[in-house]
Amino acid sequence: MPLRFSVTGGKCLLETWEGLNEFLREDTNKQFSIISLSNNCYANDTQLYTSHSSRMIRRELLTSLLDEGPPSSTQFPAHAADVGQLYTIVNFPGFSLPMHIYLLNMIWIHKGQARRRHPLGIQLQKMLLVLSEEHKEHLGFLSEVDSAVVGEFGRIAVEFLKKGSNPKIFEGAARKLNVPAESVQHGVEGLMYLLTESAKLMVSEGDFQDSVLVLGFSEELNQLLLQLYLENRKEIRQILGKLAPSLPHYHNLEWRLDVQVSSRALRQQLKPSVSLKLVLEDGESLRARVLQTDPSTLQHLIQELERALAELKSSHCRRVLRNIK
Amino acid sequence: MELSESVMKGLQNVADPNVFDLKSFTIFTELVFDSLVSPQCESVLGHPELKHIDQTTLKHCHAAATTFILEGVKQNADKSTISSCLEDARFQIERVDLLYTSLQKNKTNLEYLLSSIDTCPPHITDAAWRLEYCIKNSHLHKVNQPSYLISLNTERGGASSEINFSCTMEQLQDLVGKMKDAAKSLERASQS
Repeated sequence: MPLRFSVTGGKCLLETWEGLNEFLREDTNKQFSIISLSNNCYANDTQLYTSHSSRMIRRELLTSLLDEGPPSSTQFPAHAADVGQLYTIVNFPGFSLPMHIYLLNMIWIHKGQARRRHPLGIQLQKMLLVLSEEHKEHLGFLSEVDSAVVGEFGRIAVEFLKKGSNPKIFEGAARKLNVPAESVQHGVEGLMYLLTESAKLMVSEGDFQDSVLVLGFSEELNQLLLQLYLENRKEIRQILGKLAPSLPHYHNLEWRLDVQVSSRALRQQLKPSVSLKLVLEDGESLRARVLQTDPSTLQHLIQELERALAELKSSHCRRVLRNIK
Repeated sequence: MELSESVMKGLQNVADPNVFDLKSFTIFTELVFDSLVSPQCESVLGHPELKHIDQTTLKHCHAAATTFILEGVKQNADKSTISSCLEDARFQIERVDLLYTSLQKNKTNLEYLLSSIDTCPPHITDAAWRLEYCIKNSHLHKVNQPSYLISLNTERGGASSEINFSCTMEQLQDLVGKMKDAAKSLERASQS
C-alpha cells in the first residue's frame, strides 16, 4: 500500500518516501503548512499535522533520516528516548507505521479517540470533514466566481440558516452572474451544509482548513470560508441545538399562599396551602400549569431538589464533567 | 340548623320509643357513626339486632340520622343548637345526650372526611429528579452539558399523574429559590 504524503504549501502529492526525499532536497527553504499522512482507505480517519514552531525540527529530523539514516540521540537530545526506539513499529488503524514516520510527526497513537497534546505541539485529530463527490461538485461552483460573490453567498447561506431559505434570491443572483439558477442554489446549499457540518462537529480551525483544501480553492477563498465559519460557528450551534429532541423546559414559577376558610362540605376550616404556577416552555410556546401543595410537602420538595443540586457538586460528578470533553 | 321535612320525619321515627327501644337506639347510633367513619362496616339493614324494625323505616331513619350528623359537623353546631333541633324532633333527653356524646367522639374524623371533599388544582405529592450529562446528539456533537430531568407527582381526586420537565442547574436553583421564598413567608405568616 503506497503511503501518500500531501504537502499543502506546495500543493503536491508525494506517492513514495523517495518522492518525499526528492521534494525535501529541492525545497529545503519552503515552509510546509501541513505534512499529512493519508492512506487511501483512511483518508478521512486521521490526520497528522505539525504546528508552526515544530516544523523546523521535523524537517531536520526528516532530512537527516533520509540522508544519513536514523538520527542519533546526540543530534536531538530532547527526543533521545524516542530516537532510541527507532525500529519499533507503531500501529495505525489498518496499517503499521515505521518508527521514523512516527518520529517524523511525533504523535502518540492511541486506539481511542483521545486527542493528545505532545510536547512538540502535535495533535492527532479525528475531526476531518467528509465531503461527498456531489458536495464537492456543488462547491466547485464557488471557485468560478470572484471572492466578493463568494462572500455574498456566504452571507446568504448564514441568513438562510438563521431564518429559512428563500428560493427567489437564487434566481436574482443567477441572472446577474449569467449562470443557471441551479448552480447558484447548489453553491449556496453546499456552503450551508459545509457550515452546519463543521459547526456540528466543532472542527478546529486547522481541521476546517484541511477539509476545505480538498476542494482545491485559492488561498483567499479558503481564508474567506474559514472566517465565515469562525464568525458564525456559535450561532449555528445554537440553532442546531434547538433541533435536538427535548422535554418541556422550565421557564418560571410563581407561588401564592392560601388559606382555605370554608367549603361547601365544611364551614369553618383553616387549611393553609401553597398554590404554584409552573410555566414550562415547549419549543416556542409557553404553557402554565396551576398546582397546589401543602406546607409539609413543600418542605419535602425543597429538600429533595436541594439534594439534586448538591449532586452536581459531588466528586463523582465533577470527575465525569472534567474528563469528558 | 335547617333540615328538610323528610329528615325531620326520619328523626322523629328515631326518637319514637315504639320504633326504636333504647337498646336498638344505642346500636343504631353506633352503626350510623360507623358507616360514616369507617370504610367497611356492618350494614344497618339486615343487622340482627335491628331486624324487628321495618326495613324501609330503618333505611329512612339511617338516611335522616346521617344527614343530621353531617349537617351538624358542617356547621360546627354547638350543644344548644343540636339539642334544640333534636328536641323539635321529639327526642328524649337521654337520647339527645347519647347522640351528642357520640357526635363529639367522632367529630374530628367527620371533619376530616368533609374537608377532603374538595375540588382543587392537582396536588403535588412528590418530586423525583435525574441528573444527566449530554455528550452529543444527532444534530450537535460535543454538547457537554449537564441537565436535570424533574418529575412531579400530582394527584387529583384520587387519580395521579406526572409532570415531567427538564432544566439546567441555574433554572433548578431558581426553582428551589422561589420555593424557599414561599416556605419562608409561610413560616412568617404562621408566626405573626
